[in-house]
Amino acid sequence: MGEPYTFRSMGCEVVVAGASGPERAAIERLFAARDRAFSRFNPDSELNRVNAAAGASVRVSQEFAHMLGLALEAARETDGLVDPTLGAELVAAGYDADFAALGGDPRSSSPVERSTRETVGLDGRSVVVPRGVQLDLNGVVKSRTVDDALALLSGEGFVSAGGDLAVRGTLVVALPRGGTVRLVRGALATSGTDRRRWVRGGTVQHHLIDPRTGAPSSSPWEQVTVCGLTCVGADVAAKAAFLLGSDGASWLDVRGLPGRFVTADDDVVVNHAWQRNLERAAACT
Amino acid sequence: MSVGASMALARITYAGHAKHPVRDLSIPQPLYRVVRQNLLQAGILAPATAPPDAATSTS
Repeated sequence: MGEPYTFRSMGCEVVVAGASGPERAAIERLFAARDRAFSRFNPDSELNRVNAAAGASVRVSQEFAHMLGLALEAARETDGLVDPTLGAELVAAGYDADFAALGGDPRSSSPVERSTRETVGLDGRSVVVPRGVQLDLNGVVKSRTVDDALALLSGEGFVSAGGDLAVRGTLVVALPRGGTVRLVRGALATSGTDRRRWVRGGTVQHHLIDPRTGAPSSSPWEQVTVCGLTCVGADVAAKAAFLLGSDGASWLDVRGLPGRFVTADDDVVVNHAWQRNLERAAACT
Repeated sequence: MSVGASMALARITYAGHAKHPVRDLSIPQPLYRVVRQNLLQAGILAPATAPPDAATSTS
């Protein structure tokens, strides 16, 4: 695959292997364009333009409509757990600037009050965000961009951004808290709270908001890794399994998705699908 | 057969002519379900046979 190439985008290091010079340039342009359009911290982003117009119909780009449609699909597939309408809740928890700029904040977090789960309207390229609701599409944008970047490679290789990794060909991957696995097909995504966390009002906060409480999740897991056919699918499933706490492993098993869970005490648990995958592969060799 | 009769017959039997009002295309329901299920499909893992080339860490 050749020497991996790295650059920074979306607040994390992006690693690309197997790309030609023009493919590297195209992948960097793709990440930069998605970051410009979907960042909550870029005042000129399309996301912020849509959020600023909450309550009114806004015409959006084809790409924005596609990404919002994907986020709404993720919400349906997870019964609302991976919710793209939690931007205000993230700000209330203190995630109101690029993560690198976040420091300790003595103010306590103030919960966002919502009487009902209001729905986002999406009709073609027309979007209506209910008043008081702020979109945050981070639950799908980075992992989908990893998938789209991989599609720009003409041969075997991989693209990794933060915890999201998609591969063409096979790849041995290091897992959180030790251990390795060979990714034969698809993608791996890890969601957790060991990196994007900060203190607000003396309480540790993190970016995985539980839509049932509107506050950072109190899941027993620190990291959840899922193997999916696509990176965005793996990422959505990892977030849902994280938020479901002790029910996360069986939720993944029902869908046949391999999952690996790490607790704050560094205990590692895998679900049946993960175990079956490895046993089946070992039996075939 | 006269030219006129041939033309009339052709207009009736020509397969490209719509015989009923045109309807909008819609996605057949089984296909729609397959598309929806694609988001949460599983990949394939195997035991590692070499040192790692990449890592998945928390995003």
